[in-house]
Amino acid sequence: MKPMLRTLFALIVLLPAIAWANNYPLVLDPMVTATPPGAKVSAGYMTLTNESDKAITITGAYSPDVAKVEIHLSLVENDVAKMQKQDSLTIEPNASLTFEHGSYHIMLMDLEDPLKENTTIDIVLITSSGDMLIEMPIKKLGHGNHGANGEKMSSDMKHEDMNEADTSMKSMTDDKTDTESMPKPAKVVH
Amino acid sequence: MAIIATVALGAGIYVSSQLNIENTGGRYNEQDAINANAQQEQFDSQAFQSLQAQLQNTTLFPDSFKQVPAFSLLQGENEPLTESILKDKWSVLFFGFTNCPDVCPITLNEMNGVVDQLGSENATVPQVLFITVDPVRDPVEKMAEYVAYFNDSFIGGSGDLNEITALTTKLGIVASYTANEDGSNDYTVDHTASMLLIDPQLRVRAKLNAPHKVDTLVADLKTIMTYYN
Repeated sequence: MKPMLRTLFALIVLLPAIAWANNYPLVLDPMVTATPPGAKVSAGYMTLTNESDKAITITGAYSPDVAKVEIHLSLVENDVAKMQKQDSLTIEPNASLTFEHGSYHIMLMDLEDPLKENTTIDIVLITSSGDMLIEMPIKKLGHGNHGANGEKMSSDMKHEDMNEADTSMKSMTDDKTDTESMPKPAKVVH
Repeated sequence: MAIIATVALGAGIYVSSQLNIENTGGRYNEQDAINANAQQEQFDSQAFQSLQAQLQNTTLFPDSFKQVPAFSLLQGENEPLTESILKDKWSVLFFGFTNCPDVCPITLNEMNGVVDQLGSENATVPQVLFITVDPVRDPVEKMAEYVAYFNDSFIGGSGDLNEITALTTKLGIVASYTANEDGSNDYTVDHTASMLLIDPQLRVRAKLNAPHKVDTLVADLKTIMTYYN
């Protein structure tokens, strides 16, 4: 990420992302999976909520840090795991779209270096409202984290991966007892 | 009447001797299904059904449904990986590839949780093997590094593509290769999402179905391994 962008983030990070929402989807719980040694791919997950009264279409993604980024759907059909590139996804008005295990993900390909946990990666979503840059925290997989069948935030959520990544968010809310069910606003630039 | 009975008995012996040849020959083909049916009849179907009923997301196979055939692959730093590694212990066998962003890492991550939990409960802990169906991009050293990231005890397997295909075909594991649409000289691999549970006599005991979850896997593995141990 460019130094100027970093400064920009520093200025806006303490303000709720919703202030920028307008016709952009609200980004919650963004994460990219840290990669095992040798892995050339990773996946990004999050929930996008369209709070406007107009449908928002996502037609692609890119990143200054990754050679190739696509939107994929992974599915298991007749016990066979498959991946399908998605050309366009629509979020209806007042609806959400979740990128999660066993469903949609931001597919990062041709990685040159491993993605290390507790760092971040910039992903730009191309939407009908314009491009939006999302700073996505890189996390190790935890059990139940963004699980299939909407089972994210399960009882297994005691693992360390939630802790550090949440630190910045805790300063934004006084409700420390309810961090597990609290959606976490993302750092977003439009 | 006696003649009919004799003929029927003779035919029965003939068929059963043919089935035995199939079994001991270690070859697997269309006979498999017939074999499985014949064995299933002998199996105590009541015990089988009651065991199956206790399982949450696992499909049991009858006693002599299928055995892991001989194979010759590689593990670690180019050391041999053969069927003998499966002897005298329970194993979970999973096929995938490292360019798989979602299903494979998540499954291995869940298996790490399974191994941890079974270990902490002093239950039988199966060994976990992750064998690539994409050996061209996944040489053995890469597989070893990859699985160790999830758990030091996991075994990563690679080797000759033909050898891997022979193994997956015999085990009924699907791997199909699809070129990416963008003409980037890249491809992805669709592959079986379930894992196989192999018993200490190399029999394929069960199919652990996707989606894989620690709690369900722990419960089902304990139920099966306790029953057969």
